Amino acid sequence: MDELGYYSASEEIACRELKGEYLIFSGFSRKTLVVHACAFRLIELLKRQPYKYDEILDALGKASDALDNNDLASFVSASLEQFIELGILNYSGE
Amino acid sequence: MPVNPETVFVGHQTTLVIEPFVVRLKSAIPAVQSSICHLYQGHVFLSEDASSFADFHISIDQVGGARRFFRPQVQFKFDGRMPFKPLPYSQAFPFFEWGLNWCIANQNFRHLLLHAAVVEKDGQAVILPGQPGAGKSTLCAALVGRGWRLLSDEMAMIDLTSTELIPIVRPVSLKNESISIIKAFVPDAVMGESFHDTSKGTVAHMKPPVESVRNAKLQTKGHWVVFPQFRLDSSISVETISSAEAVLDLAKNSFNYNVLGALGFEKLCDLVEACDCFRLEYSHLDEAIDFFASLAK
Repeated sequence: MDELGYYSASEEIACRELKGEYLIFSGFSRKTLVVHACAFRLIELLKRQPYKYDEILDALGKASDALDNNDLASFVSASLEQFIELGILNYSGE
Repeated sequence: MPVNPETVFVGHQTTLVIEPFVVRLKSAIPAVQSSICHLYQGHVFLSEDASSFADFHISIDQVGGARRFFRPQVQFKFDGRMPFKPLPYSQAFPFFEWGLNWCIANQNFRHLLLHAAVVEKDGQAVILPGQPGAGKSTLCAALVGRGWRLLSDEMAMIDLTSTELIPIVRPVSLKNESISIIKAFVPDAVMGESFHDTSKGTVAHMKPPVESVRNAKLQTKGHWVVFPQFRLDSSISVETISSAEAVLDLAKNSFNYNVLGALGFEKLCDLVEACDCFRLEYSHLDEAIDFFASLAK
């Protein structure tokens, strides 16, 4: 995973926790997705401001129900890749 | 009181209030005029002049030329445009109903629209989404016949501010076997003419109850979302589904969810958050009605 650039959320992303489940709507792809709690927190984090990869791991690792370090890193990498493909997240390299 | 085509259609034109819309309809076809007067008897017909405001300007006319004599056809016009190919003359009234569905679904961006029937009891509404063949209109007609208030058999219209359900009280459209099933299940239902050999098979309409028409301005909160599925000779089964699953399925059943974007998503989530959601498989209407009665208790 590129550790230099910044990841950010696309402009028209709506997130919603609904009775313990996590939904995301992408205005770009017009898709509605049900996602894991950790992926939901990732998107909410990047909606607030852009973060670098290490900063994302740091922020998500502090959550009480976070995955362990190895699982978290692979989960975040896979999620970033998929969400960028879907137009939910953006990446700008340095 | 009976409504007479000669008094309602002035110069072949009438203005019909189907809350929250005003529909101006022009048609010289006697079958259209008589079905409108019969099935919309409880609605308000405005006697104002033709220049007053209407949401939808619709005409149902016979196609001219040689077609008048050989397999006559009718055409549907909305604001002077023809969005559909002509249909046989005998299908003029169902053409109006289908065309009006299209007008509401395609011209209304002020509400979130779901392909669903909606009925209400004691201020609590059930939303019955479903693709054609799921049995939502049959179930809707049966529930209305057992005292539930009809809001719509075709479209759940959701207020984008309050998330309340807005009634669009119109005749309930029944197809094929459902027609005789509802005639037997609701013997006092007032039915319109049967139209045969349409693209949907035989179609007939059940007149909405006067009480539902009278309360057509009364919005209500959604309490349940029930995805019905009629399956011949099956025993009734009810499955609780998660809110997220309901949102995904309702989004697929929406006319304008994608057009509304994030606002549509938020409002759909608001609606579902306030509801318990189920899948219902049924074969016998009595069993299904008992299930809904148990919800309303």
